[in-house]
Formats: sequence, C-alpha cells, structure tokens
Amino acid sequence: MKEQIQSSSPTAPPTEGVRQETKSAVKDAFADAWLAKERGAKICYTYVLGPIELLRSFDIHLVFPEISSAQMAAKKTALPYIQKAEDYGYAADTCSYVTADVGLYLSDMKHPLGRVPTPDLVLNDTLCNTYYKWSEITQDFHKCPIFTLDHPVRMARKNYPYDLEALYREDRAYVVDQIERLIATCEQLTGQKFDMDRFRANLDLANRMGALWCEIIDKTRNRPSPFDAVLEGYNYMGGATTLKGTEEGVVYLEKIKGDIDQRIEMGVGPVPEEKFRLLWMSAPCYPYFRKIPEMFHKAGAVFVYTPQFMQPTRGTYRMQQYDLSRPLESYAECLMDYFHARNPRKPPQWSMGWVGGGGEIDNQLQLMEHFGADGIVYHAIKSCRMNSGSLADFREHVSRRGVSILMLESDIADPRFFSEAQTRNRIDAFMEGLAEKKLLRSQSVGHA
Amino acid sequence: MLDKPKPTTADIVKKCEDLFTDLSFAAAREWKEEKPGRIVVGFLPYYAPRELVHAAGGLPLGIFGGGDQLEVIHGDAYYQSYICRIPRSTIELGVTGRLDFVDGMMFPSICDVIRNLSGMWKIMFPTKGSRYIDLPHNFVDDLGGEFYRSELKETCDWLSGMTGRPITDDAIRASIAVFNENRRLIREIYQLRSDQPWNVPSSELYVLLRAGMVIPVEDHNRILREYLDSVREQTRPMKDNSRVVICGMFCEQPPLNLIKSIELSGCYIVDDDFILVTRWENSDVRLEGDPLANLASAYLHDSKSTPPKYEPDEAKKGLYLVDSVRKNRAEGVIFAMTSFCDPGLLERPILQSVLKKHGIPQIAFKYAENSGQMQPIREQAGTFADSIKLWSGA
Repeated sequence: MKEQIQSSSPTAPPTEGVRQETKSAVKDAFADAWLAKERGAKICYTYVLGPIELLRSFDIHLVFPEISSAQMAAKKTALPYIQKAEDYGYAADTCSYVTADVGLYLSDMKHPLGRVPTPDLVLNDTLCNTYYKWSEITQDFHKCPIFTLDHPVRMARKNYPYDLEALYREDRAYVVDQIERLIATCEQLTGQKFDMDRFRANLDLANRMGALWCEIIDKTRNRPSPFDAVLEGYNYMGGATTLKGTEEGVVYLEKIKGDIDQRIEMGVGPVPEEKFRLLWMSAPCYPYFRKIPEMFHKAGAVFVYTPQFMQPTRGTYRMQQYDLSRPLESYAECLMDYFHARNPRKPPQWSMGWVGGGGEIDNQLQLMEHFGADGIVYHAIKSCRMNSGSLADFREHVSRRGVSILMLESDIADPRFFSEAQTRNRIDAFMEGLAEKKLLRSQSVGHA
Repeated sequence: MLDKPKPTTADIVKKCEDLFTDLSFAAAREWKEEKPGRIVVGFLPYYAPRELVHAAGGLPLGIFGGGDQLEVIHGDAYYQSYICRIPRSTIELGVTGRLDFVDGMMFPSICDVIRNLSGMWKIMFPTKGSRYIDLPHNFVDDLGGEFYRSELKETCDWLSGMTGRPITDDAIRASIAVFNENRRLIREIYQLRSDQPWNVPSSELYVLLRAGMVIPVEDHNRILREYLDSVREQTRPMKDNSRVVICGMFCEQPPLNLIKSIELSGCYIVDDDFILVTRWENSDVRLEGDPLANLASAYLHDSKSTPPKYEPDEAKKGLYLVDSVRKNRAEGVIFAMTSFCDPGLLERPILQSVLKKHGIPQIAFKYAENSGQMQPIREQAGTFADSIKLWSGA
C-alpha cells in the first residue's frame, strides 16, 4: 500500500503520518491477526459492512477478505492467485475478489503481505448475493461455521398500499433477533460474556469516526480539492474500515483530517492546476490503482467524491450515528438501512450499486451540485454486478439530464480486464469533450 | 355428437412449443382481454409465489428472457459487457412493447443483476408495478419464516393495489390447491421420464414446462394430463444412452437446441433444474391454517436446492445432486452454467468437489440463451456419454 498513499503531486504536503497509520492498519493486519491468535483470540472473516463493532466487543480478531484481495490486486500480485482458482475450477467471469481469495486458500494462505490465519467463524451478510456464495466457499475450504445476518431488502415502495413504518419495525425486530443470536454464537465461540458497556463504547468510537469521516469527505468541496477521492480516498477508507470502532481509528482519521486541513490552508491539491472535478462511481481498478486516476490528473481532473465513501458510515445516511441509549436496535437500523425503502437517502449521497428506482438519478445530480463536479466516471467492474450492474442504464438516464459521463470497463482485481491503450483513448476523448464544453459555456457566459 | 379426438403427443408438444416461442405473449394477452379487470403479473426465474397472483385473480406470467430468436438491440445499451444475457433480453422485451399488457413484475432475489433490474424497471417503466421479492437466507421458522411471511403479505397488498380487491385466505388456499395439482402432475412426468427417458424426451418436457409459464395454471394442468395420457400409450425406441443429471439452467434459459443436442449426443437427461418454479416445493403445500405461513414454511423446509439458494447446513451442501444421481440412477452430471452467472459459477466447484468425493463423473460447459454453435457441446456431451459407457463403473 506504500506507494498508493503518497500524494500524487509534489505540490501536496508530506503525508508521512497518515501513510504510517494506513500501513499499520492495513499492511500489518495479518501479523496482528497472528498475534491475536497467539493470545487466544478467535479469527472471524467478515465483509466490510459487517457487524464489526459487535464482533470487536468479544475481542474477536477480524480479517476482511475483500480488503485482502484488494491488497493483492494493488500490489499487482492477484493474477497468479486468480489463475490458481481458475485451475481449480472457478470461472474467470465471476468475482475476482472471490477467486483471488480462493487462490490464497490454495496457496497455503500465503498472502503477499504475510500468511493469513484461517477463520474460526465466517460472518456472512446479504448485502450482495456473492457474499453468501463466498462464505460457503470459505466454509468449504476451512470447515468453519458461518453466521448469516439476513438484511431485509425493501425497495423504494412509496406507492404501495402499506404502512412502511410498521414494516420497518417488523424488519428491525428480525435483525435484532439475529443480532441476539449472533451474540450467543460469539459468547459460545469465545467463552466471553457479552458486555453491553463495551459494545456501547465501540459504537461511540464508531460514531466519532463516522463524524470525522463525514467531515473529511466533504473537504473535497474546497477548490482545489485537497485530495483525490480515488487515489487517496480509497486508502483512507481502507484504513477507516480496518480500524472501525477503535481508538486507533479515531486517531487515524484525526491525522488525515489534520493533513487535509494543512493542504487546504496551503491551497494545494493532487494536481498543480485543478481544471475539472469528477465523481467516480463504483470501486477502483486496483491492479492499476494509480494509473487510471493519473490519466485524469494529466488533464487537470481530480476525483472529488465516490459513493463508496459511505462504506465507513455503513453506507446509509451521512452522519448516521448509533443511538447509544438503545444500542441493539440502533445497530440493527444501521445494518439494514442501506437496503430499506425507509432510508430517505438524503443528498448528497448515493448508495453504491443499489437501484431502488428513480431517486438515484436525482441523487447523482445532487452530488454533482454539492461537489461542484463537471462530470461522472462510471467504472463498470467485471467482478461486481451489484456495483456496476446498472451503470450503463444510469448512463442513459443521467446523460439525458445534461451530465457528461464516461463509462470505463475493467475489474477490481483481475488485470486481464484492463486495456491501457483503450482506457487512455477513452479518457483523452472524454477530457477533450469536457474541455470543449467548458469553453463553450464560458463563451456563452461572455456573450451574455 | 362425436367426441373430440384426443391430441397426440406431437400435437401437444407443437402447441407448447408455439406458446413458449411466442414473444408477443398472445395467449396471455387474450386471457387478459377476455374479462375486464384481469391483471397479468410477470416474474423472472427462479422462484416466485405464483399462488398469490392467481389468488388475486391474475395470471402469473413467466418472463424467461428472449431466447435465441430475439435480436437484442436496445437491451445491450443498458448493460455493459460483463453481464449475462437474460436481463438484456428482458429489457428488450420491455422496450419493444412486448410486455405492454403486463401490469407488474416480480423480481426474485436470485442475484445482484436481477435485484438491480427490479429498480431499473421502475425507472424505465414508471407506470408499471415492479416488486423485488426478497427471499430469506435464514431458515428458522420464527425468524426467516416470519420475515418471509411478511414479504408474502406485502406482495398480497401490492397485488391488491392493482386489482382494488383484497386477497382472502380462502382464495390463497384455493390457489395453493391448484398449484399443488400442477406440481403433482409435473412430478409425475419427471418420474416417468426418470423411469422411461426414451419415452419422455427432455426437449418435450422442457417445452411443456415453458408453456405453463404463459397460460393459466388450470389450462396447463389439462395439457399435462393430456401429455401423460398420450405418452403412456406410446412406446418409443430405447437407446443405449447414458443417464445424466443437468445442473445450471435455473435462470437464463438454454436454447431448445442445446437440450436436443445433449440428447442427440447420447445422453438421457433424467433430472434437471429447468423452470424450478414449477416444482420448487418437493411436496404439497399444506392447505389447513394460515396459507401465507404454509407457503413460507414450504419455502424454508421443503424446497429444491439450487445454486442461488443459500445452504446453511454445511453437511448438506451439494448432496442434493448426489441424491438426484442416486434416485434417478444417473451415471453422471453435466454442469451447464450461463456465462457471467455468479450464483452458478461460484457454486460449481463446490458441487464438483462433492460429486468427486462420491465418485460421480461430470463435465462442465457454459452457454448463453442465444448460443448458436451446438457442435462443440454435442462433441463434449457425446464424449462424456461414451466415456461413461466405456470406463465408468457406474
């Protein structure tokens, strides 16, 4: 991860402190996991929106398979793992996070950043349909138990003849019940009694991190933007997710905030002269993590937001905070709101990959306005049908509202799905179009 | 008055083939026009609570993509490259007006593409109903069962919103009864095919099932009875084919030629996952008591295992295929999965490993609903059939 968190431009101030923090949070994660295992802690594999704060209240050490695969990809080491999984029987046209992970299982758990301990528990959730297949695969290799947290998925249903609030209460009770069963599972796994105060303290830390995170991601509204939402933002997010609900996480984000404030004070950003501001939809192409944003930087374009920034705050409301006076219920709400029609999806935000119908188009327009963006880049990922399965459709609808959109196709982990020349051509053409559009607009303003 | 002559097997199959290849859905349109106030509600594979649409006085209409005859022109504009074909052709059906008579659509939680398609449908066809059917991943009665019951209740409310009439418990019970009959007849045909695969070709069985997706269930029951009567009266030549189970065709549909090619290559298909909604429940759904709770319970405890469905019990994982092989005296399994199908392709290696442990031969290939080149598949399946005959101890 080292090279990824360096500022992309000599104009930005040094980021050594943040870099070290991210390094310890992400790079040393496996070494920390082994230390935890030696102390007798149990290892749980969970996905990035899983019930992290709850698991941590049992001293369970967390390994994030998605982050592990992303690390392989960012270090340009994922392909041999993916190919190992393909030799075993996995198809190239499925999720490469999963196939990279299977490659790890088939490589005696030897990850480029260290050996990964096997799980004592897999925490499955139903955010995406691949998760539960992935959990079953992990179980097949490691013979460990799975706990499944089933999120009710309610589409935007405002026109339906029923009481949405009553339904919400029913759904919340369903999730609370599952959380209580998860608590019993964790008690049995660890031999530790559930400590509500400790859980509440973790939620409090998560609240503080959430508030800091929301401040950070809004700072790209400054001109120039103090950081690139893809190049630097995803690193910040990796650290924030890994450290969620911890004191270290709070310190980590405070450092990032301080660093960014310093850049704002100096008036510097990722490029010497910011000419264009763009939104990035979907996850990055980790095997070419620097290359793609830098192609935009060359034209003076900076990414100012990605909806994936909602991940450290559970992907729902901006500034959604846990209510510490009713921790289990509030926790259930945060786990389920991402997919619930009751979620008002207040702007400026956009739920990743989730098409509830209609509101998402307005939300993207509001994001454009909030961040003063000139266009949107949709990154359609081979691996992730949830994130990118509707991007081409959105391109149709959002472009009709006058928004300049570029659609790129590649993958989160598999480098074979990236074509540098083709990507560069498309980016160059898009940036030329944006420049022309800007020129014409300034000329028409001048004439007026 | 002379009795109406009994239809021959060929007549029945021809009628069914005409029904399933008709992408204007003329039969469903006619049904709707016969009586004012009728509704037609589409549903995608692999499972949907058809009984509720029927109880609302509606016609559940299976939308299983555009097949190999539909040229997808508009649909490709709504999807990037790495997406399977069924959502593209479904959109094509929508934007070309072929579904203009459909009042609402149900999208089951089979995968992320279909989940998102439910939202895209709302944006593209704002005057039509679009409902995502969230199936439980928790199989405990008072948790996942309660949740699913609530989902079914909400589906009833949604349907009532279209008809302006509430759906009574008695109406749901009556609908469950008629669908129980449908499932019984289909199970009977499956059993007959397993016993005498030379008499019940899978290409015939497939079109019989597909026809049932576009006509009222009562009509389908009549056709199924006629087919059973007809096929029992005839004897077709038995071939020295290998008996195989097909796995992977639960969502995007195979071209009919693909099924024929597998059969022509020397395989008798003795079990499969074609049109699972027609036999999702393994036995009759109970009629006594709360009908929604009965449907929920049948889903949780008495439904088919298939790649998109989460299996919470590791010990049972994949055993349904082994059971199917044993029960149907099959000699091997053909995995035929759709390109870009996450649930199928991520499940396949686990299933292959289970089969391997049980010494069951297998092959795998991929297809799309518009696959045109059957020769490689015929060669692969033929070689598999030959290898079973030559070397398998089965």
